[in-house]
Amino acid sequence: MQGSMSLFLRALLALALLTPMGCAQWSSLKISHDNPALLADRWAVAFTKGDLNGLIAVYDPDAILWGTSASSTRKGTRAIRDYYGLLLAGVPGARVVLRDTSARLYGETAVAAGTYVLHGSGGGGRQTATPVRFVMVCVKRAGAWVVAEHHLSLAGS
Amino acid sequence: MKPSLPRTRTLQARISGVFLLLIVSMQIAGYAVVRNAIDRNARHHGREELAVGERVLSQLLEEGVLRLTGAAERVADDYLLREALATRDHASMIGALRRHRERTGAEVAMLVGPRGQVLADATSATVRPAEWATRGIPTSTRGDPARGIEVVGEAAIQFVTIPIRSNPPGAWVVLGVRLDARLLSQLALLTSLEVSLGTRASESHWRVLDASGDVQLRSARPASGQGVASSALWEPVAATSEEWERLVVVLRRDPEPEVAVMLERTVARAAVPFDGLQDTLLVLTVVGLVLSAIGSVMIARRVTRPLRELVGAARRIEHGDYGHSAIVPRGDEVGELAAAFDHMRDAIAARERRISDLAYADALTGLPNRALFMDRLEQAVSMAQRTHGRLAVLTIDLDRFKNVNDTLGHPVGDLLLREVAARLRRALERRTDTVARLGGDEFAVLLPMQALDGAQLAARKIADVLSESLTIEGYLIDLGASTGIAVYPEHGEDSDNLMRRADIAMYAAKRAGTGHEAYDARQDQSSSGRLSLLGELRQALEQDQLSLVYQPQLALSGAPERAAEVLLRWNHPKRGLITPDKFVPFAERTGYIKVLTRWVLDGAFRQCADWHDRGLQIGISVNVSARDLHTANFLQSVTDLLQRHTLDATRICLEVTESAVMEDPALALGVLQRLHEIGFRLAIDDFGTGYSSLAYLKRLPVDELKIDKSFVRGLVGDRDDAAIVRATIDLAHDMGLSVTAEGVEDEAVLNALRRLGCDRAQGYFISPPLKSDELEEWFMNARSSRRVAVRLL
Repeated sequence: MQGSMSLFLRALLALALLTPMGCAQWSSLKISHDNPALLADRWAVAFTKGDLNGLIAVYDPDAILWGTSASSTRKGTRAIRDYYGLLLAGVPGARVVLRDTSARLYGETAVAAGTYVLHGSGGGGRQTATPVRFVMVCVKRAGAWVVAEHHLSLAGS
Repeated sequence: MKPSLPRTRTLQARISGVFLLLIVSMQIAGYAVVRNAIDRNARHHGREELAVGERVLSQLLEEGVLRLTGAAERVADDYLLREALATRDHASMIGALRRHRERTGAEVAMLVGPRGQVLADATSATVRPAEWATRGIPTSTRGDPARGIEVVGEAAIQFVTIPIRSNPPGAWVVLGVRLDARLLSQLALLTSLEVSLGTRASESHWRVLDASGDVQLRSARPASGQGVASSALWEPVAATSEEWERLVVVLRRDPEPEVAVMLERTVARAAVPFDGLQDTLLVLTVVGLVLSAIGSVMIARRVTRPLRELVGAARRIEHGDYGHSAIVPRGDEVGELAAAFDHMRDAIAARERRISDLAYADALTGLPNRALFMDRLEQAVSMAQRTHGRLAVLTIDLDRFKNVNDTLGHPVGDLLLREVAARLRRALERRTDTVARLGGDEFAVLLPMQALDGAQLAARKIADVLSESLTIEGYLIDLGASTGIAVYPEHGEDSDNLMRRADIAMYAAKRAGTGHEAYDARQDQSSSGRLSLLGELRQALEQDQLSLVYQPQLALSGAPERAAEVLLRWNHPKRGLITPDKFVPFAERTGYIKVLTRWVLDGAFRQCADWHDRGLQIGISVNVSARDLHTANFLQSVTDLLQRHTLDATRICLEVTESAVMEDPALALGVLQRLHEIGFRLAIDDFGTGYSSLAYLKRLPVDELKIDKSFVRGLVGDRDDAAIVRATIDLAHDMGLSVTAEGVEDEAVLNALRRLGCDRAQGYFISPPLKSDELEEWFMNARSSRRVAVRLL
């Protein structure tokens, strides 16, 4: 069962990767909520759109977030909301482009990891690109995958 | 010979000195000009170095700003920092800032808020002061980087601020680097200047923050020129023994404290490139001075060498050496001078010969003159004294020569003297004998190595040659001579005595008519007495040895008049009383009679004026010498004396001898006329001893005749004398003249004169000469009127 399922998911993922459209188009795709790797896509889309609710929806109510430069974790929906609220307001126009994402499923738990580039605008109109790596520990709640722990850090650091 | 000049006063030394002075002055002036130019150039060069240093400093600071700006931009663009800022993650902000600070090498890395508050500070602890947060950081709201310099503690920080893009904006990145020794050393390395970094508050002293090398900020004076636009201020520094120039580049002026970089250099260092040139210049100057000194000495020697030769020639001439030529073979002015000097030498030699001839030769006869004769005589005496030899001196006086001159004229007299000279030369054959003309008709002969016999033989030869008749200008003249002989050592042991005694012998020969006489001591007594009397006469006047005495004159006609003749007396301290006949003739011969006459007139006039002032009407008269009549200023002298004593000339009778009038009648007539016009009474003295006729005397403005005592004394016993006196009195009366008889020595004569109608008489029988007070008493006692006449003789 798990093996056939895995093949199926792989097939979907391959289809998605082969799709010429980027992450921005993921929301329009009919992708199954059972794929934990899609959480990264959902997160990237919500971040790029500045959709705070969309971002919060990705996380488990007890989720723990390690921000990219954060010196401590944010735990729980409220803390995570605060974090993203400040971030989206403080760093407007940031755009996440996933570079690679992979997910491994361990029963009701899955681990998704990958990298993305955070594009944005600096002072004087300068364009910035910050490579970031991430790891998402996903758990299934009520049949849907949510992020239980999210760790972000600079890819080069 | 004059001593040689000190070397410092020689022309050579002066020329050398002037040359050296000029050259030294020029060299010093040239050295000073070049040195000054070098100094100015060095200063200019140094200032250029400082200006270059300022530009390099600006460039370094600008590069620093650019580096900081780039780094700050990267910090501002850092997502992590922006995320940390956005999420208020202070620790992450610090971490990000520290990471950037360490990467860029900056000392200051901060995030500040819109009010300047520090949001995050990762500044190095070495420059983080407590007051850092209290001051605002200049920021730009337009997104451009702001820059500035801030003093933090003991450090000056160059910083930039750049805003972080956020929404809403409200944070700036601050990055700063310390302006430390590295920058200053880099600047010093690039510019070779001493560099200091200083700060000060307001006008206070600069405080050194950092410096290249060991240089400390000198001269804490505030920079002058705070108000100028330029941030660079020139400020000379002289706080140390070394002269410095400083360029103060103000990096921060407002707000305080000021921050400045001091670029400094020593003036000496700026002149270092010219040291070689200065050394070369100094060497050239010294070499030039040495060469100039040598050259000037050589030139001076070349110029003065012919002058020294001329000096030598002049000194030879000074010593009478005219034989050396001073010709200097040169074609320039010195050569001309030498030639002129030679001509001058020849002319001096010729003139000296001429002067010598004139000094020692008689121009008329060519014989040695008195000076040369005396010189030779003295030499001969010296020789005789050394060799115990003998010599003889002959003095010769021509007889009747005056008659020749008077009758035939001086030209004939001169020819006669020449002929006499020629005959004397012929008479004396020895070359050692000297024949000289002493003056007038006096000649002298010196016979060395001759005794009295030889001298007498020579005198006879002289007499023989002169006794021969001479024919001159067609006149046959018989001439004689009188010769006196004096022999050394019998008659004198020196030249003066020999000459004087030869003269005495000559006069003795003339008196005796013997032709020649050798000296005899008996001849000398009267002669020497007369000569010494004449010599002492001057002293007598000065020492009041002369005096006037008055001999009253008795009026025989009964007219009430008082008159007296004053006689001159010489009370010699050794010889006793000397009568005028002993010295007046000599005074007349020497011309001293003028002084004597004036002295007598002055005394007589004073006495007469004194009598008149005291109411005594006593007339006086003065006997005037024949020489006085020939004196040019005699009239003026007499007139002056009248005015001096305020005396009426009519009280004075001037007596002139008959011979004086007849010597030059025309002159005598003129003088007597003038005296008569002035008011003087005039009398002919010693009448009867001359050859004048009464007819001639009638032409003269005389008032009185005085009959000579030689006739008066014979009046009683000699019929001829009586006839002469009688005739004279009668003729005088016929001519309107009064008559005075002199020499009345007895009563018979006096009575005879009274019978003959003589007007006045005087003589010892009447009264001897009296002193002035005695005369006054005599007149008071006498009942008859008298008149006083003054006589010199």
